[in-house]
Amino acid sequence: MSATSVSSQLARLLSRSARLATPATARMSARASARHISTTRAVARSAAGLRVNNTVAPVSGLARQYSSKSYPDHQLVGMPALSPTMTQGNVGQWQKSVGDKIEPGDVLVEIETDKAQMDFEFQEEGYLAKILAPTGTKDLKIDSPVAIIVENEADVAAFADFSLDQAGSPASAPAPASSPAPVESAKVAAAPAAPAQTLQTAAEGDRIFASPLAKTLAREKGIDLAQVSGSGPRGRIVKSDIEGFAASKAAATSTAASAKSVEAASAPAPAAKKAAAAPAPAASAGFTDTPVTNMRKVIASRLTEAKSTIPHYYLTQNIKMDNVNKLRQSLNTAANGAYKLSVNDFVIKAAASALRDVPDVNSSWQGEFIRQHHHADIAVAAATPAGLITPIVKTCDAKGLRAISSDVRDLVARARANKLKPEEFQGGSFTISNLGMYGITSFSAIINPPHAAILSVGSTEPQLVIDPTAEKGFKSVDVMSVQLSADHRVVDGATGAQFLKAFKGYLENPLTLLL
Amino acid sequence: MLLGLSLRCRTGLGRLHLRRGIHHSPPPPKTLCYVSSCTDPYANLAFEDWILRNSDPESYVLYLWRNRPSIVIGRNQNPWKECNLALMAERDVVLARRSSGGGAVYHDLGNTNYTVVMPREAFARDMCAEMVAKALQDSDIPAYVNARHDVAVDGLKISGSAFKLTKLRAFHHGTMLIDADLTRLHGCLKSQAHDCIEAKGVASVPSPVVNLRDYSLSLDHSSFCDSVLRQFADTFALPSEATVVDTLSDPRTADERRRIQTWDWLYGQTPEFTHRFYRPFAWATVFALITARHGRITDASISTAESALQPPPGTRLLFADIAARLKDVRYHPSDISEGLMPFTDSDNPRASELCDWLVSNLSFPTV
Repeated sequence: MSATSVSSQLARLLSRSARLATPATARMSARASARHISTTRAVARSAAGLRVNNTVAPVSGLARQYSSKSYPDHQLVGMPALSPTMTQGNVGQWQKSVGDKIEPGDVLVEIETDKAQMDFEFQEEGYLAKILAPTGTKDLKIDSPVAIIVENEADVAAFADFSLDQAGSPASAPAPASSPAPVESAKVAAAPAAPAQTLQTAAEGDRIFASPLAKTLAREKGIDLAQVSGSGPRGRIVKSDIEGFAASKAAATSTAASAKSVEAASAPAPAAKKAAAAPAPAASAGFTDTPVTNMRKVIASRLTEAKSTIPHYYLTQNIKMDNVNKLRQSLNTAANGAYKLSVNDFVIKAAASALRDVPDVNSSWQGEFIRQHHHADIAVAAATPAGLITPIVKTCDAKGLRAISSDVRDLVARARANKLKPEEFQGGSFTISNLGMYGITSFSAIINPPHAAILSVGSTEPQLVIDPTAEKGFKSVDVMSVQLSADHRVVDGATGAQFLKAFKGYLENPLTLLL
Repeated sequence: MLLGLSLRCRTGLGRLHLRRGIHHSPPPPKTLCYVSSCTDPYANLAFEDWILRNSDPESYVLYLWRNRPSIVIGRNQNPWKECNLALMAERDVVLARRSSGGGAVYHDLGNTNYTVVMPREAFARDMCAEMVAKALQDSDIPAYVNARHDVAVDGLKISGSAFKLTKLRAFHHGTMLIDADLTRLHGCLKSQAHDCIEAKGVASVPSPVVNLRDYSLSLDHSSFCDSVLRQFADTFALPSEATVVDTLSDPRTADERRRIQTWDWLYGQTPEFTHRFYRPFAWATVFALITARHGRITDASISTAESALQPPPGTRLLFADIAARLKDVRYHPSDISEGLMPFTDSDNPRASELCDWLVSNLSFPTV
């Protein structure tokens, strides 16, 4: 029989924490153990109460089940987890020989893991009956059997020919008693784990996998397959599972051996969720994992594609914004609430005009050909809570400042409310990204494929320039730094420079926008 | 020079007194510092063990030491597999076994060792390595801690680490290659029998190493000790005392010193291993398979290849006799030759040939 399985993850976690809670082997720092200790000490304490009656019976039951020769009551000691992160270790020198008396706190064997040498102190009384992992055994996983301890000295001789094969598969043997704590903790874990167990069997999906013979047997014995956990491949229920289930029902110790069936590992998902809920915190402080939304995925793939395939180059220009600011002010005062122009609106209009002047920049790379657009459909980068989106203002070259302003406002509002239609953010021929309101003085944006260029606009900062005509010899000018990121496949350096020159011209002399 | 170090330590402490307790919420942990004035590896290792077992359980202790040329193997390593004992004997390099895990390292006066002993709960693998890396960075050396918890510069290892944990205390000790004689080292860590021995203990992970001398002309043992002490003070707290200890004459560690020089500790602590070798004689190719545990032969099997021509009559019996004589014999040249004595003197030429061959393969000089 593969003994009725308890959630292996849960048992392992609890057993490990219970073992760590025992004072002598490992004291954990208050910070890390605060949560551990309160729950695991409770486990250990209640477990201690159960110990006398229950330690030995399940193990010997197990032994009786598997061995051809019956061994006296004994305890199978497994590789201990001597630190919270230890998963396997090498066996060093045995400090006790077969037949030696072990007092609580005696060093049984030295364990080495990743250059750290540690002593495994055994916390119970007994006699060492058999060494299962000789000195030098490497990479032994936690809970793999290393020794057998018996209570009576007289029983030591009986284990002279003990071997692990007799005790069944290695995975099932060590489970019951790596050290006393996990046995009882597994027992205590049985209660919360019983639902976990049904979770494990029922949650396998809608189908219950069982061999035909198992199904027949179950029918004969009147056993509900849903209650049996499988030990075959992928949790399949086999004949021995049915027999074992019947036996365990008769024995009425449903939690007898918390033996992990070899296949328990294959059903970790539902169990793991339960285990995660168990009081064994993972590294909770420090980070939060957020699943990737569609929008984030799209941004990720498009921008990665852009940055890796497009040959970017960058041209910077400083633009004196005094005239634009003056014009903006005067237009806004004359608005009477009908509109409110922002600097960005002027930027868009200037860019549209420059694109008309240097149409090569208003192009896109199509692989075999370059498409030159006749109209300036400018995409404006807008930050929304969900991520970056670029709604498009169509035919900017034909629109006036007022129309551009209202379009942008409308599009951004709907973008934030997630109400944009696909054609409103897909397409376009040029992008403008303005981080000036965030105080960024200059930056280099990534081109949105298949556009040929993107204009990065920074904030407007006052700068001192030499002015012989001024009384003090210098004056303060408002300067805005812009950067054009261009795709060299479509836009050569000189072309880009021409565009920027035109753009600068329109902004420094905004009245030319009228032309 | 060492007196200069201690004086420097004290003035260093004087300068640093303003920084007392800056990094810890009160009260700062108790800290101590010991510097060894002796270069005997056994004395230094014994003193380290004494600190581990006898220091205040809540204290942090920094111990700085260096050894005369020696190879120090890890707790469970196989000296015959890890070291070229013959070469070591030739070059006067001593063998020592430490109590922490890990691989074999070369020590000499150009290599400084540091040990930090701390409370068990405070143990973290990278903490002290980072501390030492910072000490080097203060000396303008771009050191960092790599994935194996070693301190490295430019991808080359300059320091190895090992750890030991007991019930209450834990220590991290490491080497620091400042100006070691790497040519003398070369070959000592390459055993002739390396491929013939299958050992169960931990195998060393060879890494290319470099001396810090290649990165700094001014760094030496005492300036390194000063930097580490300063960093130790910053990380934990200013030590109340920095004592220079003559570990060789310290009465507290006399027993331990003696214990770790015995054959039983140096060689007898070796986990089980198998040693295979063969030799084509004129009359047959003979294979030997020796199993040993704790440095003693537990089983010896001498045979010819199964597919070979029939060996001359009587050899099978001879093999069995020799194998029986080797049982329980220590891997020690005198023990081996003593065990095989009756055969070496016999009239049977094959017997003496066999014995000479076995003696030459199994007699590793004890260093």
